[in-house]
Amino acid sequence: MTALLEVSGVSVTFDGFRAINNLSFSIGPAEMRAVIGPNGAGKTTFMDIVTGKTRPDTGSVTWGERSVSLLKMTEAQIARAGVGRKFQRPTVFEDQSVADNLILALQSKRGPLAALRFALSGAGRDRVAELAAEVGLTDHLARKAGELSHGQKQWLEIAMLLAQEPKLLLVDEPAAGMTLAERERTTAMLVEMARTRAVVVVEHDMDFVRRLNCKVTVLHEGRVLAEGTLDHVTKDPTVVDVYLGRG
Amino acid sequence: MTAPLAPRPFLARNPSVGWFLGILAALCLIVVILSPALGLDMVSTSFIKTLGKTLCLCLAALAMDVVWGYTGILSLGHMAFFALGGYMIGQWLMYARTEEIVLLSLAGGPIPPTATEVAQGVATQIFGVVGSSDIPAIWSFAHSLPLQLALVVLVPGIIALVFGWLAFRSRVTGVYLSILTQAMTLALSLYLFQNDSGLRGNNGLSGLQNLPGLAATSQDAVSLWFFLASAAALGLTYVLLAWATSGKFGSVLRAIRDDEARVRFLGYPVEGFKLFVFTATAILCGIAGALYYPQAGIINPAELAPIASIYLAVWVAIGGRGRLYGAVIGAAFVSLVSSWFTGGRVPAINLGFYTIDWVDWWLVLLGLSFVLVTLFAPKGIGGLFDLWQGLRAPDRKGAPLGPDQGALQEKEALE
Amino acid sequence: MVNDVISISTVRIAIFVLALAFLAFFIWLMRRTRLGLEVRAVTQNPAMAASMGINPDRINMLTFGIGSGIAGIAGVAIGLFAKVTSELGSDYIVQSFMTVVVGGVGSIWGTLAGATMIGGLQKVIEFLNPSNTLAAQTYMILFIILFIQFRPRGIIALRGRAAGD
Repeated sequence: MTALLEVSGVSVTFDGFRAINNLSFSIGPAEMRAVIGPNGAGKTTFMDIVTGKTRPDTGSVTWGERSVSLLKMTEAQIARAGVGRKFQRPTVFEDQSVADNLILALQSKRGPLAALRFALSGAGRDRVAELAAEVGLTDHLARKAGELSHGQKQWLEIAMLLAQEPKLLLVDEPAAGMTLAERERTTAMLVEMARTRAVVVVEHDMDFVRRLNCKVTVLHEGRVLAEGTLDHVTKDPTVVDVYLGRG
Repeated sequence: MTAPLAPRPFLARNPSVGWFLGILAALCLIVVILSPALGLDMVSTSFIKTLGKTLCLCLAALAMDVVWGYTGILSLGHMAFFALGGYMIGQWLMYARTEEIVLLSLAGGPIPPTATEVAQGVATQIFGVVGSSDIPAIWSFAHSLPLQLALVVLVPGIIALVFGWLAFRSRVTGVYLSILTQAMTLALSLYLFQNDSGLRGNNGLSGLQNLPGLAATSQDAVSLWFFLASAAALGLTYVLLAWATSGKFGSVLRAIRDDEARVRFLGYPVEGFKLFVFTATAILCGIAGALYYPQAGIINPAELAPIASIYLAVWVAIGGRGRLYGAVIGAAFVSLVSSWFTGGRVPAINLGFYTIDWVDWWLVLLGLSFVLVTLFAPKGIGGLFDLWQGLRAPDRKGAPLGPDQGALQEKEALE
Repeated sequence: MVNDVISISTVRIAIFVLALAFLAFFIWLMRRTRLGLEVRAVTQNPAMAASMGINPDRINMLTFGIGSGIAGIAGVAIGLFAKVTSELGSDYIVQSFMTVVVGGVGSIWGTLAGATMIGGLQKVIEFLNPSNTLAAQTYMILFIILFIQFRPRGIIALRGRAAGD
């Protein structure tokens, strides 16, 4: 199986501080991966590099079967290639209705002229309704997203990610600020998504990671410290030393 | 199918369009009935010109609202595009009109004048004031109305395209972009102030109210036609912009305004959208200017001064940005009140020790009301309509709009 | 007066000294005083500063006041050699903005570098094209627009995550 995303030998320096140090990482087309690590381990910077927000000093990031380099692409081009990202804080367009938020995310041509000519098709309408139902926002479609509760915004953002139909999903601390029941639902949803696409979850919460039941990559000081099942990495003495022992 | 997703007709999505067109049509009808040219002669020609000019300013304000209120780009350069449109049409008006006069004065001669003689006569007439008797290269197309009309669209469009491409490409945003647009405006205005710019330096172009070939037609009729043309342009633009901003395009623009980075991660080419909006609105401003200056009669580089573009922003802010009718109300209200106050028809207030003369104090009043609107009614006059409809924006409680800031910091940190 | 060839009026020397004195005062204020510390804290993270017991509104008001005051001093200096009118300020609005943008927002040295660069360049262009100060200013602004292409955050940019808008 060829990798969907292949990050190799990537380094980034901020003002002399090495945020990412010779990092290599790869993930297949239908795989779930949890990335853990202490604060400052480079988790967010790693996501920034994949989504094109930060340019690495050295190394390569290639994508898909044809191994296209993501380094020369803009954030928007990378998103169109199929990389979706969920931020830690829910980021929805608060001034627009829930329906408009979903329509924005829905797969479509992204240029200005295409947006001018855009008309919501019957299929698109069904898809929006379906997504809203999936995250329990059917009754809220006409409301402004800013009026939703924190949890509902999280769900709206997840629905927007689904609407984008990404091949790779980067999720930053999905469980933050969620109730136990919501966490369980999020876990189920992420596991379901990983059947058809690659999902990378960055998380602090060990219980949550355990529930995902997937391969774990431990980052420390900008490089991969250990990789394997959660049980495997938690037994690794270096991991225990830098992370779990102090955690 | 869920109700919020059902397709709705254009007018249902844009209730303001019907109202707006109705009010505009009523205004046109009243003006025609009261006009000296076609009706009862109850309003003066100069008043009709003021109304016509106000409609052009409303048109520019609409463009400003789309670029600022919807997309969040505070451009302090759109009045420069407005003036450029005026200069382009002014070139033809002045050239063709001068040519007529020269031909008339040479007609008495024994032999018909040659083309060179005519050109020389025109050149001395137009450029005598700046001490030149050659026609500069930028007047090459001035003999042709269609070509100059094309330039009304092309010159502001191309300048906006090049400038916007440079600015958006390097992700200049916020106050930096405003300053950059202001610098562009200042550069253009300083350039035009020079005598060798080819556009008559600080004399500008004058006599624009006299249409070539229509010497026999009275200004009463000309002003009415320009008023109606301005109204038609405003109505058409309103419908067009309402259509563009109520669909997905408008949704993307507002999303860019609120959280640019997030829109990028949804796959939209944010820079492309900004460039498109910046250029399209610059062209609209150019067209508005081309309608305005024949009614004003004169254009000079002072019209491009950065302060003019700041006024445009003030109008939109007072009217209420982010809604099209707000921009129109703001521009119409402020510019009409302004011409009322500065026209010297408002009685001065005598305080005994000091007399408030409104011609002098009007700017103070405008500045004060701008500050008050910004502080206490950030939604402007248009916000009153929300009170009426009971609408309310979600309260963010001061929370920031977006996730992290743009990519620029990290990029620079790498350097 | 220096000699027969070069002449510098005493007023200009006084202005120069005044500018240096206020530069020193401003650097001292920002780097060495409690107020400067609080100003920098509010700039970087208003919410965090507020939770440390700093009132951001008060700091904003104070900085606005200090900024206005220093601008007033600059006005005094200009008034010593230029014609004072009610529209004196509007000539300098765009220029002062550009100085800050070129130099880098939030950096005293950057602003100084920006001012030096803009002032110096303007004189160089005027020297090359002595007949026309208007053209000089036009080229100046075009240069700045191009300059911002290469350094969108100015000569000395704030670095890292603190450099948000």
